[in-house]
This record gives sequence, C-alpha cells and structure tokens, in this order.
Amino acid sequence: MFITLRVWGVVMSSHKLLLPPGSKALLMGNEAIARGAIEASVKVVSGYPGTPSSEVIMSLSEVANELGIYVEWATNERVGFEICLGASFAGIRSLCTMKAPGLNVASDSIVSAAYSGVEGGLTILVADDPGPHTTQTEQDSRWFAELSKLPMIEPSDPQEAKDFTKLAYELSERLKLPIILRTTTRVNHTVGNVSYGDVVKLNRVPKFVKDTQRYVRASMKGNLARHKWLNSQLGKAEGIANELGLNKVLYDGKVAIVTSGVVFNYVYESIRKLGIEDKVKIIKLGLTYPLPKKFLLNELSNSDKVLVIEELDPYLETKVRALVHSEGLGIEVLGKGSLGIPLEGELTPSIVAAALSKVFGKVVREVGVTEVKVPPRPPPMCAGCPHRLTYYALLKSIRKCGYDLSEVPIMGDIGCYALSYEPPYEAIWTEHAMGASIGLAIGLKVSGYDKPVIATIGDSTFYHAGIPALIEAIHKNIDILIVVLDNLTVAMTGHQSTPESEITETGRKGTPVPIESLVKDLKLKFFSIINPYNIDEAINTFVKALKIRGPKLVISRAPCALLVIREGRLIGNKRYIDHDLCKTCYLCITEVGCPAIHLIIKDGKKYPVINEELCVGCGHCDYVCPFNAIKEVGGDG
Amino acid sequence: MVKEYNVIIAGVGGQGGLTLSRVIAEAAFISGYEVRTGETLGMSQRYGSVVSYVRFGTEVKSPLPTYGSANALIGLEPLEAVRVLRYLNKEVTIGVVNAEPIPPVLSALSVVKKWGSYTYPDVNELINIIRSNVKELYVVKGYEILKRFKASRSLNILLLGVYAAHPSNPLSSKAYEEAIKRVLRRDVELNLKVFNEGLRIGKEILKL
Repeated sequence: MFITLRVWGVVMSSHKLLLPPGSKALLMGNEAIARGAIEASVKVVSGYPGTPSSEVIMSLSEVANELGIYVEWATNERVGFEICLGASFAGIRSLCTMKAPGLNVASDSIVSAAYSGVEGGLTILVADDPGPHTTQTEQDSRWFAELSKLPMIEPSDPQEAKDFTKLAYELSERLKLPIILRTTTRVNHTVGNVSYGDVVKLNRVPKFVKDTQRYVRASMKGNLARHKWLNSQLGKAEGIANELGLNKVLYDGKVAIVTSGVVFNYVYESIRKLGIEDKVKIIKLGLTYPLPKKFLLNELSNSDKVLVIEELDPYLETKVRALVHSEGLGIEVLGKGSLGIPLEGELTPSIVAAALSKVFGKVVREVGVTEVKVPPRPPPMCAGCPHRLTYYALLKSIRKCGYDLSEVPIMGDIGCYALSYEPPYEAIWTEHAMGASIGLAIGLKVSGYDKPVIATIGDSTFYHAGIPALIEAIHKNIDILIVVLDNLTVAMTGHQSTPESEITETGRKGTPVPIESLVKDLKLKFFSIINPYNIDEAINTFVKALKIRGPKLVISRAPCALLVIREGRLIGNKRYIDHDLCKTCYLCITEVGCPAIHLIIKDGKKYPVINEELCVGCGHCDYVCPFNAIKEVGGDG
Repeated sequence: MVKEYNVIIAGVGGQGGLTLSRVIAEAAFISGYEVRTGETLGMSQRYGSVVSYVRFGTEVKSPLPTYGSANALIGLEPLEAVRVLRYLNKEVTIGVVNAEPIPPVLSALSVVKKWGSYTYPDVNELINIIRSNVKELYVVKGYEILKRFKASRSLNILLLGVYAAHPSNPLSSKAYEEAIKRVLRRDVELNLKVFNEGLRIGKEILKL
C-alpha cells in the first residue's frame, strides 16, 4: 500500500491514496471511493463493516491522521449515519459506508434526513451484493432511493467510483440532500486504472445554525412544508446531474440500451465483440433516482426500440416502461422477461452477450466445456477457531443435560460463527439479521416452547444490535441462554476494531467498553466468562447455565485464531497423529471438522493426518481422541 | 499491445490467489495496460474456494471474462482448477497447476455415511480433466519445491514464475518483479527468489 515517490528530488514515503493530482494508480473500487472522498475534502467518515463495503474505511483509516480527518467505525450503521449527518448539519462534508442490510438498520434516520437535508455534502455508500457473494439477501437498494426520496448515483468501475464520489458532494450541496452512492460487489471489489484529480480546497469551520422547522420533526406543519421542499429539490436533481456529466451516451444506433453500474461494462464489451456498434445506442445512467426523464426522452426520440439491461429487479425497466407509455413514444421496451435476463443472481458478460446476440440474430461461439461435478468446498471455521470450541461445548452440554440436539434450538447470528451450520456441527438453526438471535429466542420462549433455547451472537453483532434484545430478555424474565462469542474483532469482514478495542481503527487510543461492563448490574440469573479452549470448563459452565431458569449470559472469549497467527504466535503446540496408536475412529474429524485434518490412505486404510502447516495447536482434536494418538509436535510423545 | 488477455486464478482461501491477481494486475498496469480484476470468494477468511480474474488489454472494461476466454489458468489447487473449467479454452488456454491437493473438510467427513458423497477425487484424474480442456498444461508440486526455500506461503509466486516463462505470456519478467516489490508487503527478497526459481522451472519444462 505504501510506495515511494520522488518529489523535487526528495524521496518521501507516501500512501497511494495521497499521490498528487494527475497520478495514475491501480485502485480497488473501494480505494477509489476513498480517494474520491479525499479529493472532495471529506472530513468525517463513519460506517459499519460489511462486505463488500469495508475497504473504504479501512483504506481511509491508513491516511486519516496524515490528513487530519475523522475516520472510525461506528457501533452500527445508524450511529455511523447520524455521526455523518451531525457533521453535515455543521457544514462539514461526510461519508457514511455500509452494505445493503446496513441501509435497513440506518433507514429510520436516513428517511428523516431527506426532510432536514444537509449543509455540508453527505454521501451514503450502499454496497449491494448481487450473487449473492456474502450477504443474506440480494436486496436491490435502488428502491430505497425512491422510498427515502434521496438522489442515487451509480458508478460502473473504479475510475467512476472515484469521480462519482467527488461529484456526489457537489450534487449533495447544490440540492442540500444526502446522496446515495449505490455500488455492487463488482464495482467495490474490482481493481482498475484510476487517474487522480485535484483535491478541493475547503476551509470550513463547523457552524450549526438553529432552524427548528428544518431540524425538529415535531411540527406536522413543518414536516409538510419540508416534504414540499424535498419534492422541489428532487425536481432539480436531473439538471445538475446532466451538468455534472453523470449520464452518458455511447454510439448512435437505432436500438437504445438503457443500463447502469457494472452491467454497462458487460454491455459495452458484448457490443464490441458482436460488432454491432452501428446498430445500438448505449444510454448509461449515472443518476438512477430520480429517473433523468428529459435526458432519456431526448435520447429515445429516434430509437426503434429500447432494451433495458440491469441486475436484480426490473427497477429501470419499470421506470422506462412508464416513461415510454406516458409520453406516448410507441416504441417496444424489452427487459427482464423478453431478454431472458434473470431476476436473481449477478449478471455476467456471458449472460449479457447471449441476450444481445439473440436480439441481433448473432451467434456467440459456444465453447464446448462440460462441467465436471467435484466436491463442494463450503468455507469452514478456520483451524483453531475459538467459535468451533464454543459450539462443541454447547452441543456437548445440551446432551449432558439429557436433551436431544433436535429439541434445543441454537439461534445463530451474523458473523463467522454462522459457518457452524455446516457439518459436522450443524449447530445453528437460524441466521437472520444483525442481532436477531436474541429476539428470535425470546419469541420462541414466549410462544410457549418448553425446552431450552440458546442464542449465540458475536461480540460486534452484540454491540451492533444485540443490546436492545438483551434488555428485553431481562426485563421480561425470559428463560434463554445468550452466548456472546467474543473473538475481540469483527473477523468475517477483515478484522476491524470493535468497541472493546483499546486502539480505534485509525490508531487513536479508545476507551474499551467490555461486554461485562454493560451487563454487570443487570439481573441476570447466571453470568460467566469462559475461555473456550478450556473445553471441560466450557462444557460445565453451559451445563450449569442450562439448568437455571431465567435470562442467562455467558461470554466465551478468546481472540480470533487468525489474529493469533498474525502475531506469529500459536494457541498451543502443533499436533500430529501417531498412526501406531490411531484406531481410525475418526472422532478427530467428526467431532472437530478442522480444515487442518484430512485423510490419507496407508496400508489400504484411511488414516487422519494433521497438516502441520495449518495446525495452530488449539488441542481440540487431542481432547476428543480416546486413544491418546494425537501428540504435540516436539513433545516427548 | 494485446486487445484482451484473461488470466483465471483458482485456489483455496489462504493460498494467496487474491494477492497473485494483484501482482499480475500491477505488472500489466506497469506495462501500460488498462486492467481489471474480479474475484469470487466465499464468506470465510480462509479455506473456501476462491477464483480471481485478471484481465488486461486495450479493449478491457469488464471485471469478469466470458466463459471459454481464459488465456491462462493458474491453479493453486487441482480440485479448484477443475471447478473453473467453463472459463478454459482448448485452443488457447495455457495452464499451470499445482498438483498437491488441499481436501475440503467435507472430504474428510466422508468417513461418516450421511456426509459420504464428497470423497476427494484422484489427483491424476483431476489433472487429466484439466489437461483435456487446455491447450498446454504444466504441472508442478509447488509446496515440495518451496520447502527448499522455506517459503510455504509463496506458492502463488512460484506458479507465476512458471507461467511467466511461457512465450505466450505478454508481460515481461521485469514487470512482474517490479509488481512483486510493489504489491507484497512482506518477504519481497524471498519472493523474488521464488519467482526466479519458477521461471527457471518453466524454462526447463519448455526446454528454452
């Protein structure tokens, strides 16, 4: 990330996001958004980690101190948005980042922000995940722009990710509205060439002017007035967007293709490969809410037909159809159904090429590759992952209390530990939304379910949305066991800091907010902190907890194994399997499910072996082996 | 300058496929190309299937290639290389594949009846499947070679070296070396040594 450059003969070290205007660099879409924010002189950046949005804050945090700007993760997206909005009320430019489900978390506040508007520009980065690659739903957040009445812009590649981010602040300040910068995984995570622009010079002093009609939503008359204001602002969005060059047209053929975002690239390359540049006109929308009607009408006026090619829902298609109909253009609109473009999953260049070749009667050269069925490789919990041991102890304790695993639901939550749904544990019964494990467990109990119910939730998820549900469980005396799987980081999205961290994301000294400090004065019927690597202690603690009625909480705490390795440490001594003692009972496989253990064939028999490279010495396999066949490497056997 | 060149990198999370895609992208960028990378990865930090796409050339805009358009396949793990067959092209693709398997957890669990259908296939069978779907295939036992260098984390760079030796590869070794220096944060010297060992092996196989 750090490269050396020569300026005026002096060698100085500088971050690639801080190269001078006119520089060219290879940036990931999210790094490009970060550079765009730097060029726009953004001073406050907040958000919550979520793939594929996290690298914006991660890369900005590397230069925050040098730039003297505030870049930190917030407890959740809503808090992050409100931090940004507060800065914007004071005239300071801010950026809030989140993945699509995070938009739902922040939505209460965002919808009201359309009525108050902003002073300093505010951009909300929302990263959707068609595929989906790493998200619980394929939410198409374009509809949210319409719901919240906030302008939405969509870049198609890293260069535009940077340019549009910068332009978003001009649009935002001219309309006095927050702007939604909507991306998809293939924009956020694509690396591409980016040319740098100037950094806007702003010397703003935060100044908050009292204006109750604008900022206090208590007056219904005031709210009505602000709604009228909002609608009139939206009416100006297209004009400014066109002036800023957000909507573009390529080629001048008779068949119009309306598209936006990363799909534009698939359309562009397909058209070049099919050699139909003279037949089409690509209308690439950068502003996708409100629909740039004048721009579209002007471009469609001499078209024979319109194809709308987009990912997920027929959002643009619905709007283009309505426009063509209401303006009586009398031209055919082809979209999802007629082009054979799926409503689910992400689009690919192959899907787009197939759709276009059908319309233009071209044949795409089929490459005759047959798919071969091979074993799937679902991501498991890592070797030595503390979560694996927590679930192991939970499942053991349920059995020890005399229950069948099929009668004690374990609610899961969002995080690495959700991978426990895979064999061999098949532990969690639900993974729903951030913090939902506790609420769902309460619901099951109050419905009259008479067996124990367990909610398992990660540390960051607990801070994010678990606390209100915990309060509910305690206040209503609900008989559930809540287990906080505390690995001291937001692991799944790339090890971001949590409120428990002593150092914040930009390296500031933070005041840790340990989970126990939040619950110590609450009337829990049972509370304990365990180390999941002490397996017997963990099982005994869970057994005790399951036998007590009422709200119970156990913190199972050990740092993410990947962080331990990163520090050059191990959890314990690495292990190997002594095949002279191994009776091939395979418990080290079926009770553990560790990616460091695999099978080899020796003397016609399948033996488990430990990949010494991958083993981090958690000792779990050693613990379950009934024949003492698993030994410590370098031990005395 | 080539119009379009597509590299597919297939491996297991933690093997360095993503880093390799950045190295090749940076080498193409240094060489003056328009570059795009894309990736398909699971939710975990490690051990899931990871596919990276690097595209460069004067006509490149999309982060994803079309099926059957791979000029090069770098397979860090044989099973994962078979998983990306639809991108390969018998008339075009040059493949470099590491023959040492990393069995998925599900394969070990095949000792239990209810999870029994995921036995890891025979490696030679996998290699043969790949071979019949590419123009040329080079098979190495990367981790074994890397033991000599105490560089078990550099499989990605070793395979890059082998691939870089092939005359159809449009980028120079100097560009790759510069890219390794820019992209890798750790062990740059060691990785340059590994890259050159890869080049040597590649040239030896090709009898250059």
